[in-house]
Amino acid sequence: MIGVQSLGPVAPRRAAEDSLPAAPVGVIPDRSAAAPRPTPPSIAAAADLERDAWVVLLSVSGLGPVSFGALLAAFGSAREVLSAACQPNGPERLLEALASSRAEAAAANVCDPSSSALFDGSAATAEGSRRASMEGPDTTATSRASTGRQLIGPNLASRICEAALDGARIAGRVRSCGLTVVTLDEPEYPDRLRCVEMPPPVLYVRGDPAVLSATHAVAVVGTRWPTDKGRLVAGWIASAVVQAGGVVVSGLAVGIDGAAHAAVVAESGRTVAVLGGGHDRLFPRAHERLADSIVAGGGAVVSELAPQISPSRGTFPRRNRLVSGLSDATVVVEAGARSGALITAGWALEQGRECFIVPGAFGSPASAGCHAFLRAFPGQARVVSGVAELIEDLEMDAADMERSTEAATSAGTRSGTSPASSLPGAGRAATIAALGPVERVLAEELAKGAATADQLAVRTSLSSAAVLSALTLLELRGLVAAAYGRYSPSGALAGWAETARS
Amino acid sequence: MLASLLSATLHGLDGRLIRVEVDVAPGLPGFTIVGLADTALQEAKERVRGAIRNSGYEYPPRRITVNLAPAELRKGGASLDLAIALGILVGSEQVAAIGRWAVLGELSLGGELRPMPGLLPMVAALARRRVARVVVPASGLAEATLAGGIEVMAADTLSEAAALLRVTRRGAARSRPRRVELAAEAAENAEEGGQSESRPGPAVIEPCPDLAEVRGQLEARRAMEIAIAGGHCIVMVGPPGSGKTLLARTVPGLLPPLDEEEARVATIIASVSGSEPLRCLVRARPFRAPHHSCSYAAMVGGGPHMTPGEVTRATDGVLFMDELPEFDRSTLEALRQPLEDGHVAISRVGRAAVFPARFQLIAAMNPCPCGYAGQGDGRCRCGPGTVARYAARISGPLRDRIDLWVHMPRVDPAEYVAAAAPEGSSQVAARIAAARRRQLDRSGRMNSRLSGRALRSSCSLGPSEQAHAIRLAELEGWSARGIERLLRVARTVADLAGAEAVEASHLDEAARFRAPSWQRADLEAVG
Repeated sequence: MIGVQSLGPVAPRRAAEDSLPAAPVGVIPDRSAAAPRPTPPSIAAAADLERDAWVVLLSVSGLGPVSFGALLAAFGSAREVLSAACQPNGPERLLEALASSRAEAAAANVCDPSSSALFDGSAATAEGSRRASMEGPDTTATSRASTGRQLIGPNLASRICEAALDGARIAGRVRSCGLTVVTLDEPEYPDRLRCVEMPPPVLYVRGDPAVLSATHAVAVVGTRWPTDKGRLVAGWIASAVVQAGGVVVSGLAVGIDGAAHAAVVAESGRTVAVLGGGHDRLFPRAHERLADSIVAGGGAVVSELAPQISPSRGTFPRRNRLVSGLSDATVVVEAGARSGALITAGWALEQGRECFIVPGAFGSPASAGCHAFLRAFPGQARVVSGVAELIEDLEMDAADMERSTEAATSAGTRSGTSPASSLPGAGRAATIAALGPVERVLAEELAKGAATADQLAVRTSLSSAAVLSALTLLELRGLVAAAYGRYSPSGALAGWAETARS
Repeated sequence: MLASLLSATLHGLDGRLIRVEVDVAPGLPGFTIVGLADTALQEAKERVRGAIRNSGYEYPPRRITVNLAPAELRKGGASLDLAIALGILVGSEQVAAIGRWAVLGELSLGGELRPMPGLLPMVAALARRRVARVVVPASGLAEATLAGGIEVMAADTLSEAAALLRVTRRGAARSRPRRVELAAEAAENAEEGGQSESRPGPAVIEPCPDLAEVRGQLEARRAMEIAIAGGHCIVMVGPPGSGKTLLARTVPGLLPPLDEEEARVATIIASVSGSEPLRCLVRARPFRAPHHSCSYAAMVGGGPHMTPGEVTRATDGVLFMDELPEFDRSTLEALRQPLEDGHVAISRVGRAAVFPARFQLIAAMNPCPCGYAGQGDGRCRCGPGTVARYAARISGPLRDRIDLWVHMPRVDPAEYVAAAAPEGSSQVAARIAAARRRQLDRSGRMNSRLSGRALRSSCSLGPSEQAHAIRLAELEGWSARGIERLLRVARTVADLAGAEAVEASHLDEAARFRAPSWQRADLEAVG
């Protein structure tokens, strides 16, 4: 399906076909269907103003895609909403306009906005999305439809008016963060995301927004508490995807997510990190450096939340739907019984995307969720039986790789690609060959997986002093990462290669 | 009648000569002690009264005034009991007055003499003040004779002490069988190596586990060898049950014995802080392992008698702190001065003392509150923030003073069974002793005490090694302090290898033991 999904909205498949016959593709009129034309300056300026208005409106807490869509439908554009809200009796005006618009809509029976009120208010979101992902989407939707609650209450309306009066400052702050704002209205908005249920109206992008629309995008997600093996597998899959010319999408969390991102960064590939909070509240803080290097490597860090919004319990499941929505396929490497990665996998199925699960050892707690998911969705979730097999299943191949590498190089987005890293296995062999004898023995041993100095000394029959000084040399070359007395392969050693599968 | 005797009290690690003047005058019966006596000394009244009555003497029903000179010095402890009691006996003319004599000892109500801590420095202080003879409690005779330069006589009870004075005055004391017997015992102790400064004595080594009992953990064993060889401070980080404490317990078996000067200091400290009288010079390097509930004063010293703390009691030896982050913040911060200067200055109102505190810090800690971070089995559920906060309990300045950090991962059970029998303590101790000798011959001090110019002259690097060191430092983002640490440790590695110059491989190995950055994200290894 990846081959098909290159341009334009594709109808949701798989789970979506079964359960959601007429899923609303978004309440916002899709104006980008028209091909982008060169715009005269005045129109460009107007577009900027409108984008700022979107940013201001969406910075209001409690205002989600649905209520935002209702406002747009009532007023025609975000600027109109703001100018109405700036009036003395702003809240009343908003409510009146919404009421009349809803009445019209109900009469016209165009769409029932409340049927998809899933993402309004973060407290309800965690619960809602979990249910949606695990039980199928229609239960939530229908239950919300039957309540038919008011989308925007007086409190929210007055908050909107406050934000409208403060508009210049809010827009200025977003601009000062150096973020690119991509609205659903614009052609830069990734098509993959446009066609999911409830696409976020605005994406705040740090880095290159073009990477969001890259040809192949694969999400690699998993637990925050992985085993060594899981970390390594995540790195292998991520680097294999990059070597095949794809983009790796993940959630920047510690654990599997971080391992996947880091492997891509080490391969000088491109990766997309989707944040669970705003850009100013980067979480986890421990990954600030990783985020910087993702951006420096031509990737992007994305959030649907305004920069100042702190991540909370509810924002992460919400983020997960973007991770799967920005990808053609989702790969879960390790997930405990209650892991958030399973929510992402559930979303992937629901959004009609491929979903791959890396099976773990029988009875392994770190893979309990993976096994439960495979059992719950037979015939939908697929098993990863090896890195090469996964790449094959993803319908990515060397031809794609060359094409995308050329495209990326000509676009100038890929920085510092070494010729060695673009060929699977070749880079590793060359790197190992360039080492001294002691380091080479150790590097070959380490390529099999993380180990302690003891294990290395026993397996290589070297003295501990020799092992320790050689490890420093390998660390200097970026081939080994040391943490808590365990040495794990890094850089070219950690990347996926045919030899690593033994 | 007025009686005047010499005695001594303890002030920090020093004895002070005290002149005890006792005036037994007509008047209403009473007993007053003047001269800044503390509570224990005020209670001497009751002990002295009981001891005199129960030794067959008469407690004079008169006005007794005791003056302790010099007046401005605070006096504490029970070492003046015997002097006060004898003063009263002399003042009431039950015992003849004596010359330039000193008497030391605590009295029981029954009149027996008890030893007290700090006998050795007190006798030494008397010897320095050219006091000719001193009477000490019999059980402390061996310890008192260690001071040298003074004639020491022993008494078991108040009446024996009084008898000693009387007979000595008549010039017949030297033939008293009791004393001869004790002197013989003292000589015997000296034979054992106790007293004589010139003869090395057997080190008193408490049973400690052999290094061969530590299975696996090659990296940590190596780190410990380097740390002991160079006197470097070391912290072991690892999950529960990885053998941190066991490894630390093997350290006494790796330490070389104290040299003469160190033994003298160690004996004085042991005398002041010990409860039992010493039999001979302390030759074993101290190994102190305070629990993490240790209070600030117990760590650095202080209290009503300016008692030396753990840092002082570990002088020239090892201070082992298990569960380092669990110690109070103030207790940990208090280690900074002694680690830097090798002594600790304690000031209280009206009193101040400087104690030696040249110890080597060996510490152990878990990587995170649950203890299992980084084991690669998904067992640790501590967030990256939690791990960093736990590590931050050890402040930067303290961390800077630690030369070696070593992680001790869990030992694989299969490996535990399969591992070949590792080296025992004796082999490693021999290497350590050789490396220590090399350091002392070269620069006159341990590598851990090298810094600045001394460090640069001790480990002059060749041009290629210099470039390598800079590369190591740049890559890891080290500070100037970090580079000094690297050089110090590399110097010790070279000493262990018997190399004259520090080579690149020594630097590499030293770099293995640098401080971790405590970011869980490092596991993800940003390229």
